[in-house]
Amino acid sequence: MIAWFSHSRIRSFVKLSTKKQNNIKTELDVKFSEQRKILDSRISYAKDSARKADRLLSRGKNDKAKEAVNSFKLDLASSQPVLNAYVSTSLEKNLFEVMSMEGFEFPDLLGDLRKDIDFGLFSVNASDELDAIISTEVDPFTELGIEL
Amino acid sequence: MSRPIYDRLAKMPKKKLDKLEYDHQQHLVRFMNAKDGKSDEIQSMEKKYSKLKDKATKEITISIPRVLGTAMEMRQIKAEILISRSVLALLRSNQFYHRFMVMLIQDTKAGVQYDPEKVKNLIPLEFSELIGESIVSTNMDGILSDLKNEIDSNIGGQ
Repeated sequence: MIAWFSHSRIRSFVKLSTKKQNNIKTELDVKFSEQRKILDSRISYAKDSARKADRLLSRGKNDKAKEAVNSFKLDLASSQPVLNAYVSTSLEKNLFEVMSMEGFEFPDLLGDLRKDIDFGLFSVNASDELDAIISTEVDPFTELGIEL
Repeated sequence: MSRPIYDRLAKMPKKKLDKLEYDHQQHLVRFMNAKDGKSDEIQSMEKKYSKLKDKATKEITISIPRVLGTAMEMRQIKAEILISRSVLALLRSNQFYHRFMVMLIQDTKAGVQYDPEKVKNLIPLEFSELIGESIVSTNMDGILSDLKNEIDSNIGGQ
């Protein structure tokens, strides 16, 4: 069975009353907004550091530019755990939205027929596995040939 | 093993089949619309990602620090694309299920006698269409022939 769809918390959601489902979704919305806010702020800091480094470099202030790049690296590293948590919450939020749709069926049938059907991030089990995938899949720096 | 679905449908009165078909049809439209919406969302994000990549490719020739900010934006969009693609796969599987049921019910009402072979013939059409409609066919492309056999034995009850 697909990793995410085998969790008892996920399976039992469909059996809950609409009121209870809405409560869970509201809690998730709050968590999602908070994580998004933190993520946006970390990204904004990182972009500021990058802009600063660019400015300093163009003025020939190489040492200070290097410091700004180091600050960027720190912002980048600190945004990774938030990004991972954000992706996980967003997946759960989206999953519950789809599960709330009338006529929803778990893809057990397809999952039973084929073990290798790609349900993307829903197929990933433990959170550390999810973190590893996000870190490697979501890496435009490597894609652009930038070595930090 | 439980009886094949087409056998169970064949034993149902017409009124019950009508109701069942109506329900699956409604669900099918609902999931199809949701899937189309998600596909549009992904397409727009991929466009945005591609534009940022072009921007980054230009910036990289001017200044590495400048490109870092753009890469941060790209990273966030890429994460959103991964999430949306996963949701799309879930919507697609639901669309497939309801479409499959509508076809079986309609054919049962029309007096089509189903057997594992006929069920098997329904599958490639469905999956080809799903793959064609979808932006991300992921790894469903290579599984059709095996899937046919497995549907044959699982749904068909062989």
